[in-house]
Amino acid sequence: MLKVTQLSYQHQRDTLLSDITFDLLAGELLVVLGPNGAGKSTLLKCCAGTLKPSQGSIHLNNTTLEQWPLNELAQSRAVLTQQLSIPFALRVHEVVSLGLSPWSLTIKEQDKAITDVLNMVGMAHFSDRVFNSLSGGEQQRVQLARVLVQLLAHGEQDLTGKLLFLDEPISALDLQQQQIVMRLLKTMTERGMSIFCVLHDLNLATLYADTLLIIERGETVYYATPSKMHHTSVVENTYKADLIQIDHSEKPLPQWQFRH
Amino acid sequence: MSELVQSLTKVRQSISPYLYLFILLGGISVWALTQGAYQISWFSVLQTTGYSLDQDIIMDVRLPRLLMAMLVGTTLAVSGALMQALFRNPLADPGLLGIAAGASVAVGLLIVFGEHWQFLQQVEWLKPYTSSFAAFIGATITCSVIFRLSKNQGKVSVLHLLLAGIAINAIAGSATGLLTYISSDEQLRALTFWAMGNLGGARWEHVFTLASLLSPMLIFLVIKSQQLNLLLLGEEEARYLGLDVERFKGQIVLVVALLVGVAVAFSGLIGFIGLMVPHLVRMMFGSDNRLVVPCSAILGAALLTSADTVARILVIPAELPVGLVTSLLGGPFFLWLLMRNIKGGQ
Repeated sequence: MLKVTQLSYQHQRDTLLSDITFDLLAGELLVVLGPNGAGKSTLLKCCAGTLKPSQGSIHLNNTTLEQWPLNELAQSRAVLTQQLSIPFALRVHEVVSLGLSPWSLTIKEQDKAITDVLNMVGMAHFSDRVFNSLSGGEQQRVQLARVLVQLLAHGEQDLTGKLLFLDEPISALDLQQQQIVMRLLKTMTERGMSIFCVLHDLNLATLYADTLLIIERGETVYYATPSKMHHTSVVENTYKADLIQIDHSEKPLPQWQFRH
Repeated sequence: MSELVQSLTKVRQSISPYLYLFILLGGISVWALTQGAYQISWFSVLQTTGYSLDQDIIMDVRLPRLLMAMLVGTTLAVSGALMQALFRNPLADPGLLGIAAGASVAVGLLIVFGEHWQFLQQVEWLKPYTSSFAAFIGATITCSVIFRLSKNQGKVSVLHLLLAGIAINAIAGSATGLLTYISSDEQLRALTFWAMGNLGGARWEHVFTLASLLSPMLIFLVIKSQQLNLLLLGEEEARYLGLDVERFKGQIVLVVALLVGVAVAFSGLIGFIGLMVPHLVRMMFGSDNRLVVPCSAILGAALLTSADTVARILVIPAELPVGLVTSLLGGPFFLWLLMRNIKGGQ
């Protein structure tokens, strides 16, 4: 699906990413973690095609990223950045409909696709509200609906070959909404979608991710399944925080608590 | 109060925006044709057959002027809507890039130095068009300079575009000042009058030229209006949705330069239409550019026609430059907008 090989990125003289290699398979949820300024968003922008890597290659379905025509790329990969604001008073359904612009659908098909994704993120009753009047969390869910509809335009069940990039998609959400969104992402991967998600919450990440990629100062420090992190001090060393590792009470997965 | 606003909004939504605006434009047009130093009855305006003095005045004087006001109003309003979408900034205005100022320098040069240019004196048929041509050339030169300055590593940077516009406006302001300083009394009067904006010289051939220049651009923009919506999300986001952002921005900047250049060429500097109209449209019908662009075109025509009619009838038998009327209305509107935005925390 997405194959990143020995990727490096330099800006002026600073090396922001060096020698990063990973594979994102169909139906896999890859969560990227790391301290502030580690290069998570830079990695996302390289893989999504905004930044051109200084070295290394990025292949999407065996074709290098640059060779993808813009519109075809937009039909198979969507990106949710941290930029949420919209300068004019667009309504929620108008914002979501922008996600359908790579497709040519009838108005009826558009309406159905928009209602479906708004239902998924629990925002259907806000459809006519002005986007700017919503809270930060609500705006985040609407923008998530916009990138989902870009990949689910035809309501297809099999989402193999679709790739979703998310940059901290739950940063403004309350606990209930965080869980709803993470479960939603999980159902998407079960239908074949590949998801590259930057997160800050370690516990949520280990609970839902198929694979974790932890980077620090632009270098890979951990790339494996979450369960392999058991009884290692990767997290403590990377974040340099005073933490206690415990077991999740339902699953054999590590979780972390702050030391008092 | 809020209930009243809500019910009014509902009424507006139930009527098609276009129908609503066309009725408004039609009413204003009939009013504009009847008003002036010589009063014409509503009946004469609607009468299409027969021959009379009224018909002569309408066909030779008022109708070309009405159509000219509509076309220029449309041009200014649409270029305002484009600028605001491009800059993601509700306070952007066509004057911002300095294109109008560049055009006015070219016209100033012509007014002050034109009589020394033998070529212009000899070609008789060119005379009525010279100032229009000068403004158009000035706008095109300014536009290409701004566009070149704003290209940063092959990309069009909106920030650089804005800064280049500020610099060009400053340079053009000084150049115009210098021209004012060295001009004779007669030239000074011509210069000042032109800079205030005027639709008085409207003729049928101007109307046809303007219409033929504008129509392809307006059709292009209506087709591209959904892509303008993508820019509202941000440039990076628009690219993720499959838009070739650099190319599209280039096209929009070029179209704006042409629109503003053409408008200035035919009517001088007319301010605030580009700022006000898209805002009024957004307040009435929402911010979807698929509606904002065509509705701004119609409302721009209606608003400039009203302003021009007011300019004609306020000090009969003389008339005010229409640029003064639009600025008198637009200035306070801009301040109100600014205050509302500050209060709204934007």
